Amino acid sequence: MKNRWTRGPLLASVAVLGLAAAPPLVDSHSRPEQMTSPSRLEVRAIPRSLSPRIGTAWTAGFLGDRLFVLDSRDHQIATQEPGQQWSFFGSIGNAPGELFYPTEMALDPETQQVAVFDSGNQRLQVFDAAMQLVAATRIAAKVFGLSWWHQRRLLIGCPETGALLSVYNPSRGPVGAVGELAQPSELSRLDRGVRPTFRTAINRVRITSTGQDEVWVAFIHLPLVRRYNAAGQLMVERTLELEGSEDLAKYARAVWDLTDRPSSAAYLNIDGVQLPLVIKDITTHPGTGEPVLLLGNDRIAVLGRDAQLQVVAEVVGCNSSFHRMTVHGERLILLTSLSKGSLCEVRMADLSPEAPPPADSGGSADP
Amino acid sequence: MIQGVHGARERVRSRRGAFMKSAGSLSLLGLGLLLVLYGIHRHRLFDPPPELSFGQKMNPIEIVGERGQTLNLTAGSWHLLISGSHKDLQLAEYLSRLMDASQQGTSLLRPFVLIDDEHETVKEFEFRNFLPFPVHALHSFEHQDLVELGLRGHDRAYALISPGLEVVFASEYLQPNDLRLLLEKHLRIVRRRVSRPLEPGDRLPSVPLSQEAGPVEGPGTDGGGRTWIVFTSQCVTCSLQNQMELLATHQELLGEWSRNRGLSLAVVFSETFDRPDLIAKLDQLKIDRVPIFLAGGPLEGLEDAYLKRSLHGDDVLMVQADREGTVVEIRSFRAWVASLEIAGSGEGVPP
Repeated sequence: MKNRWTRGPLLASVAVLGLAAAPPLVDSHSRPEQMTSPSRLEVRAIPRSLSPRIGTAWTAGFLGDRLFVLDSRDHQIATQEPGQQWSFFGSIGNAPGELFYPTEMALDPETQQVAVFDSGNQRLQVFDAAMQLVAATRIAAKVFGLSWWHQRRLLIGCPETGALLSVYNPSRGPVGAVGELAQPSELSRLDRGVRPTFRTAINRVRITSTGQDEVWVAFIHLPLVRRYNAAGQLMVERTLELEGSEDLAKYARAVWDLTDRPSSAAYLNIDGVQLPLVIKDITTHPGTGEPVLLLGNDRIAVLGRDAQLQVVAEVVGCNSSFHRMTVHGERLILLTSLSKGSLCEVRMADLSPEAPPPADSGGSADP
Repeated sequence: MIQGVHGARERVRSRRGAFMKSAGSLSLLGLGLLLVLYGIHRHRLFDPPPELSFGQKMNPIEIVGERGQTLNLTAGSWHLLISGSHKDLQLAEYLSRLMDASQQGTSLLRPFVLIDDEHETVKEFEFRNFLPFPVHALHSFEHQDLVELGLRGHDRAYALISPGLEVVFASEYLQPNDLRLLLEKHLRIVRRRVSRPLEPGDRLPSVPLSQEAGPVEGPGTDGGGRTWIVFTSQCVTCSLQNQMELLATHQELLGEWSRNRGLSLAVVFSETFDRPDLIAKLDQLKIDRVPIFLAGGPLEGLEDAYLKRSLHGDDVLMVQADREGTVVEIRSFRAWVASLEIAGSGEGVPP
């Protein structure tokens, strides 16, 4: 189903935003490509893949084959080696090494270190492979997005500082900044455009490392993705094509026009600013280093052959909607917003824009 | 000379005027100073924000409220300080449930609950919920006393203080689950028993119910089977916001489905729901076609009162029972409604 208005204020403002923010070397595309209805991709629950002791699988990742689950509700980190029992680290508290509503986790495959943003205690804590605390630094702001960067530094999505990403040395604190805040021109015409909380709210991001000292950054409330290199320069900016995806288009429009809220949208309410989630999470394809996006309406988008972001599948199953994801080998692991004792997975190969529909898919369906 | 005398008179007049002016200014300044001093004395205007932080050592203190109520912070006991809004009454209610459901560990705990609400409101809540500890209105204590206790820096403050009067945990927010984790960690409380999830073939739990709304009838008095929509204690706020709207939208459809199968339909809310909030929501959503009951005890086999969780995954359940009260089916309410919608639209087979 076409949404004519998506060519109106939304895409216009994003295009303006892209041009304004892009230095000359930026490869910036905003041309909408032809969309086809995404195929339905059945997500398989991995039986008993979570411990009953995990309150909420908030986010997850792997170091080698060792699974790490950040349990925000019960203030702990759960880890499991293949075929082994679960181990639990951290517990509720304010003391060093303790956690209170941890919300972000980044795993460093080189050093085997685990960085955790401990939101209730307003600090970043770094643990070694044995989960011993090795560094901590205070961050008195809201953080959305955390990733290891080169030279053992961390990139932290902290728009309140005035930059898109803050660069942290885990022991010394902030050492720099990367990226400019998105400032859609549409906002300036609205009352909320002058509210600082709104300006920072729309710059909440998720970050994923490409493994080559570069990072992809996805704006969770905007249909916008950027790539920064090791020097912090903006290399690529992509806007997500919204045609053919009615719900997503509504999500994105709701950022500007809160009167048109889709009832099924997932929202975040921070500091009294309630915004729909356009992009829930981003990870990188292990083979290509290209971004894989989990959208607000449980669709998956990847970079297509023409270097445009394309919605390739609607993920269904597992009795719930999904909120975060991670890659392990050839599997894309999805976390449901309700912990039902299991993680869910699809094959990465099924997410290629050119891939034929998987044998067990429900076939093509209109969104 | 005449000019000189005249000049001297003018100078005296001028000096007198200046003196009067400066005297007036001084009086005003003095008055202002007095007001500021009074403000400092009364409200401690220049006090630093009170600290109630992790690791802080507290001094023994006793404060007395305007109605003679006392808060006593003494060594030898664990103290839990809760200072918050009306919403924190739910936390107090859960704390009493934890103390009741735990086998050991809470005998040394002395909770101080201060709610920013009317005295009558908090006392009614305390009485209605049989709380084993007092709940006080925040403003029934002197501001200065609350500052001494470290409870006036923020709108909400929560702290657990060890028998050695050291703050072992402090925060500006706290959820019921956090409270449980804190008490399990520091006071080593252990739950008394774990109820098994109800399964088809089991008897429905025996719980006293009070009817709050809908057509008047006693539960099970029709002699036939019954479909229960059970709002568990898992997420009271979510249920009030989302699942009750689902019930309101579909009450006609659900009633019809039940009637067609010779079943009656009723809704029961966990005892953790606040009665005034519940009734207000029922009125707001015009849920009046089905009998609505409020449980007077834990819904054994359906919810875990200690963990505040549903034993069947979803926070709202559909439980179908036969005329003997034997469970025939249990499933997620949301999934059940979705299946009825699909059946109604002709896209599927009625379940």
